[in-house]
Amino acid sequence: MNKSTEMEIPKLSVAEQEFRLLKRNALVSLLVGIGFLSGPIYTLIEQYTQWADTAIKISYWIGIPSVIYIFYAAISLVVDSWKIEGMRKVASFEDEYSVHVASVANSSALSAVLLIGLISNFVTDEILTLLGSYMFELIFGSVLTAYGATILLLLREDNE
Amino acid sequence: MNRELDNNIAKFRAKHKLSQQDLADAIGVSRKTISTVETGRFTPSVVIALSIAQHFETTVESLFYFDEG
Repeated sequence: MNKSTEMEIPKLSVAEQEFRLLKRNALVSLLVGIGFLSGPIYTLIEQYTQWADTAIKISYWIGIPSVIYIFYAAISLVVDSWKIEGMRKVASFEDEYSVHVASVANSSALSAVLLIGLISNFVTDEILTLLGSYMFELIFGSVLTAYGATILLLLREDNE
Repeated sequence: MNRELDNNIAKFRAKHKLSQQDLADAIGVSRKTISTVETGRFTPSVVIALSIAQHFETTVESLFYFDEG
């Protein structure tokens, strides 16, 4: 890259870098969350529907690109976090809207856990037994999915 | 009483021929912060309100007001 090309690329402010980092984290969180949820969801599909084969095919189509993206994102996350001065402190943002979005996402994640607790009171014993061994995946997956989805929802372009 | 916060940031930006990104960079926030404040989706802190007012050399009251519809 020559010097003139370098000068044409605007340097991102810390706020913009944090914003991009938050967006990427949210996508990783969502994908990992869906990954955790895929186990219990597949168990339900296998038990109660005839779509187990289709579910496996879909999981490959979504799962393989997701794993590649998560691997790429994890590496760039470490690199980018180190670049941003403010991010060396654990997940503290300088940009006010990023702080607001992260806070709303944390609330959503907590609500997801509460919702699982609530729903588990109303499902049948058969389903509870079936999902019993997946409790960690179910809770962790729901937390990550709710966190990531909330951030992506609040950061989408038309929410302006 | 229905009091909704509204603002004149877009008008001030237009008057000073500034984009959202220009204003965001000037006061050290993301463009998203400016855009969500402008549309009323996000209520900024006093620090941001004062920073924007200071940038436009005006008062916070002339930027933000209650839309009592």
